[in-house]
Formats: sequence, structure tokens, C-alpha cells
Amino acid sequence: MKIIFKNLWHRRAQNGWLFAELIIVTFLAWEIIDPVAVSISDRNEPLGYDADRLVNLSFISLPENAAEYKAEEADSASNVANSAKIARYLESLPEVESACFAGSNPILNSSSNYWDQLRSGNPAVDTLVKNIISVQYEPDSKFFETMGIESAPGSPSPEELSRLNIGPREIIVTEDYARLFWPDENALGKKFITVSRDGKDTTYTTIVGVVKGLRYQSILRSRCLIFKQDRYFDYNTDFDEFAYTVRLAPGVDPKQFVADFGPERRNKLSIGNFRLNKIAEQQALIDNVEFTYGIASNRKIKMILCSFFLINLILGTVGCFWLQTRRRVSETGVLRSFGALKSQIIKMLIGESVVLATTAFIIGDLLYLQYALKEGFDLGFVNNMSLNVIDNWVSNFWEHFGIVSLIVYALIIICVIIGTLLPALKLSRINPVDALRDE
Amino acid sequence: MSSIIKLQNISKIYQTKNIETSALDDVSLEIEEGEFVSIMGPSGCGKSTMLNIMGLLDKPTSGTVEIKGKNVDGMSDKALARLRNETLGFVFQSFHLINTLNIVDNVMIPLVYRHGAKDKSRLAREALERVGLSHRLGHMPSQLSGGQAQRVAIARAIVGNPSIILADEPCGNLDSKMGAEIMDLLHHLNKDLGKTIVMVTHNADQARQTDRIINFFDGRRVK
Ligand SMILES: Nc1ncnc2c1ncn2[C@@H]1O[C@H](COP(=O)(O)OP(=O)(O)OP(=O)(O)O)[C@@H](O)[C@H]1O
Ligand SMILES: [Mg+2]
Repeated sequence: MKIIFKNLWHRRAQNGWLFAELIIVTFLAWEIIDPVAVSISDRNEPLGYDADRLVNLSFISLPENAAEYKAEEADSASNVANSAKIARYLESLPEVESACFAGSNPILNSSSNYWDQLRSGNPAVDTLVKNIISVQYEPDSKFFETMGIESAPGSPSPEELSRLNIGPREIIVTEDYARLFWPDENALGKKFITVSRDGKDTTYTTIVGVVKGLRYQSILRSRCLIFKQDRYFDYNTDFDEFAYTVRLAPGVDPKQFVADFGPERRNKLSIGNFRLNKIAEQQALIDNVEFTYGIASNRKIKMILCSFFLINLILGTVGCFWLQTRRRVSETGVLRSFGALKSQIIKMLIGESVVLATTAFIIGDLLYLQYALKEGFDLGFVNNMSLNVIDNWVSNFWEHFGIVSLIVYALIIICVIIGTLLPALKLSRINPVDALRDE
Repeated sequence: MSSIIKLQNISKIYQTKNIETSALDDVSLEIEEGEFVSIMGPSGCGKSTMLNIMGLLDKPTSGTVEIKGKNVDGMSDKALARLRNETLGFVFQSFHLINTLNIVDNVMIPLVYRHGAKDKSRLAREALERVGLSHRLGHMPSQLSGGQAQRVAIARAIVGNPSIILADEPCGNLDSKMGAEIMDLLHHLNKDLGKTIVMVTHNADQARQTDRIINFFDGRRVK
């Protein structure tokens, strides 16, 4: 061990370059690895509902000039009745656990959404106004249990929540959202204040249910949502499209379910003027949103950049140590002749580069810390910053610094060890007699 | 007296591309404990090869090597390294000090690779004292004269208290005055510490001062 430090110290002129390079590498590695880590973490952050068991079916209504169009089934009452038939057929399928009417778009992860502004009725946080995505769901539609949304402790069960008949002044919220206004209390029964534009009317909205946090889209880090009821067919007299989301039984593969959805089933779903248009698993929808926002391609580019960078780091260290170790052939000969084993020679050389890389890493890491204290870390997709970010390592400065530091350190050390191992192995294989002859 | 080194029918053939070089051809010799032996012969006759085989740095093509009565044939790398570390000390013509370590650290090397060695630094200082360099402890090898460097190398060879010292032309790079100093030192190690010394040399005067001279010619011992 002591020999390692002494060797490094006396070789400081040669090691200086490598050292400086490693400091810069640490800094750059941070810059490149940080967004990748955040992006991977975002992707793996649970959505908060059972996306992997959901399949979306979208339906269209036949145009009036179509041959099969039935004028007598075009009124609002028939539409409601026919939609209910679709639900019953879907639920009769053995793979399906429950089905939920979803309005014009699949409800979660849809690319369009509504925003609301609410103000707390809690005097302690009275001035707080938070923008929030508002999810509209159909009354009596088994919405919560189909999506796999869990209710918070003390709140009605998902089934009960779905059955609740919610008035226009009542809402269901996620725990995470409620916590912003009532940090220490159960939010059930609490009231939000809505003040009209002219400031004259004040209305109250009561929380009638609290569910566990979930993410509306995989590209959003926030788990804050509110849920409101909205009777689709009442508001849309001349609609041409609507969707159903089905929850599959445990163990059913959604991809398979979609692939096996044959003409017979499609026929059965041709009810009244409705026709099945598209069927796709929820994951396809999620991927599509990521694609639309450029998140997927962005992540791919970052990954490629990152691997390119790491390969370069390996080659760089191989090169540097190669040059150095070539000059140390006779040294290994001496050590071997006085009883050093091959493995000890390799350990010594690797030890040297690990010590060197660690020291350089610490300096580079502290430099980046200075930078990050000023500039902040990469927080991923911009939308995430506008709104009540969830409380994970990404948003906690020191945790973020610690975790990404560890990742950067691990990657640098692995690259440096690989980079040293190649020349070290070669060096240790030289027969001591030949090594001693080398001058 | 028992022989501490015993070589029997040693041959060494170097195979390089199409050319086979026979460096040693059926050499047998024994060296007694406490002997100071010099090996002489013209350049290229296989003296260094012989010494490297004795020092377990190289393996013979055929024949057996016994050190302290133990046949080293088939010993593992680990066992060989240990035997080198504990029983053998090397002195090279070109010193082979490690430039990046100061002389105490250079002398300490055999102890670094010895299992359970204690007081490494003290032992290294004592060895340097024995070769008359106690006033140069913090120096780097590049700051030493050739004679001083060779004395450091000798300190390194004896620090682990091996019973055998193998020296390949230890005075080859030194002027005659410094060479004489080194010879005095080797005689001191042989007489006062009882080390067995095998030395390759081209200098007939130096050889004459030793107990026995083994002559080589063209890979063979000359009787
Ligand atoms: N690694 C090797 N590969 C091929 N041939 C070698 C090798 N090492 C030594 N030889 C050959 O073996 C023979 C003996 O070499 P060795 O170094 O033992 O001679 P030496 O007696 O020590 O000579 P010198 O007095 O010049 O040091 C020489 O012909 C040399 O060319
Ligand atoms: Mg020689």
C-alpha cells in the first residue's frame, strides 16, 4: 500500500496529465451521466396505477351516410344504452376483469388534459395556489378499480369511490396533492376555495376521497392530480369517438390480448352505430406520449453519448497507463526477482490507478458541487419543474448529489480498472529474466 | 558439508523463431554452504543463464535444480516466489534500483513481499548501515554514484537475510576502486555473515580472491 503512494508521488510528473484528465473526466461525466440517471429513474418511478394490466379500445360512430348507419339508434339515450352493452360484452370476456368508459380519450396518460387552480381553505397555507391536472371520469364507470388506483388510508375504497355520486363542488385528490395544503392532517372533508375572477363570489369544493399518488403521464414527475366527474354523453351530443379501458385478469399479457383480438370479437363490438377503431395496450400509449414529447429519443441520444464517453474513458486510461507501464518493465523484473507474485504486481498497478482516480474524482466531484450549487442539477423534463415535484432523490439536492456521485465514481473506477488491467496483465506476464534485461 | 545449491545435467535451449540457441549444455555443479564461488568464461557462454536458473528466475530445458536440498521442479509460482524471497538475494550488473523509490524503500522491497515481516524500515536502515550508507537514507537512486548504487543493491539483497547471494557481474559497471570496495563488502558478507555467494565476473583478480572458480566455455563447464 505504501509503495503505491510512493510510486504515485515520485511519478507525479507523468501522472499529472492523467490526474488532470481524470478531474475533467469527473466533471464531464457528471454533466453527461446526471441526465441519464434522472431519465432512467423517471422511467422506473412507479406510475402509481396498474398500467401493465390496461388495454384501451377506441370506438367511432358511423357517419350518417354510411350504409350500416341506423338513424333510430342515433339519439342520446341509445348511445348510452349501446355504450353500456359494449361494457357488458367486454366484461364477459374471460381475460377481462373490469371495463371502464373513458370519454373521448383514454383517461390516464392521454396527451390532452385539463388544468385547474385551487386555493387551500387552510388558513396556514391560505395564499397557496397550485396548478393541477384535473382528470375527468365517467360516473358509475368502475374508474378507480379498473385503473388500479389505490385509496389512501381512511378514505373510501376504490370501488366505493367509483360509485360515489360526486357533485360539481366535490372532488377526489391524490395524497401528494392534499399534503401541499394540509401537510399534517387527513384531507378528507377539507375544502378548497375558488374565488371568481371579479373576486366577489367565493365557492368551496369539498374533498370526498383521497387516493394514493399517481403520475398522469410517465414524463411528469408529479404525483398530484384531482379527479372530477363528468358525464360524457350529456356534454357531447355530436361526438364521433370514445374509448374504453379494460383491466385484464392477473397473468394475462396485454400484448397477447391485443394480438388475439380477432374479427369475431370486433363483430360483437359493432353495436348500434359504434365500431371498434383501435385497440392498444396502455404501455403503447405511454411510449407514444414519450415519443411525442421527444423524451424517448432524447433518452436514447443521452445513452449513446454516455456509452461513447465511457468507452473513450477506458481507451484513454489504457493509453495513458500503457505508456507508463511500458517504462516499468524492469521494475517488475526486480520486484519479481525479490519474491513478488504476478498477482501482487497487478494489484499494485491497479491500486495506483484506483488511488489516482479516487483523488481526482474527489476533486472533480467537489468542483461539480460548486457548479451545481450555482446552477442546480438536471431535473429532467421541463414540465416537471412547473408543478409540485414529487419528493424523490432527484429533487433532494444532497441525495441527488450523493447518488449521482456514487454512480459517476463507480463508472470511472470500473473504466480505470479495465484500462489498467490490460497493460498490467501484459506486464505481469513478462518473464522476470526478460524484464530485467530491458533497460 | 552439505551442498546448498545442486544443479544436475542442466541444459537450456532458447528457441527464437527458426534459430535454436543452446545456452547451457548438460551442466552439473554443486555449491557448498558458506562458499564464495566465482563463475568465469567468455561473453555469451551462458554464465548469466546459469545464475538465473540458480536464482529460480528461469527454468532449465532439462535437468534438476535443488536449493537447500529441495527439488524445485514442479513447484508452483507461489512457492518459487517465496523461495526467492526468503533464500535468495540478487545483485545485478546494472543495479536495477527503482528510480521512484528512495534508497530505504528500495532496500525494503524484499520485506514488502515477505509474509508477516515487521520492522521493515529498521531492518532496511540496518542493512544500509552494513554497506556503509547510513548517511544517505533519504536519497533517491539518481543521486548516487555507481558504487553507492551497487551498495544499495547489496543492502537490498541481504535485508531479508537470505542464505544465498547471486551476483551477476556486480563490479561490471564500476571503476576498479569502487569494484574493490564492492568486493570487500562481498567478502565481509561471506566471512562475517556466512552468506553463500555465487558471483559472475570477468575480472581474474576478483575471481582469484574467492574460494573457487568455475570456468565456462560455450555452455559447458571447463574442468
Ligand atoms: N532470451 C534469450 N533468447 C535467446 N537467446 C538467449 C536469450 N538469453 C540468452 N541467450 C543466448 O544464450 C547464450 C548465453 O547467454 P548468457 O547471457 O547466459 O551469456 P553470459 O555468459 O552471461 O554472457 P556475458 O558475459 O556477455 O554476460 C548467448 O548466446 C545468448 O545469445
Ligand atoms: Mg551475463
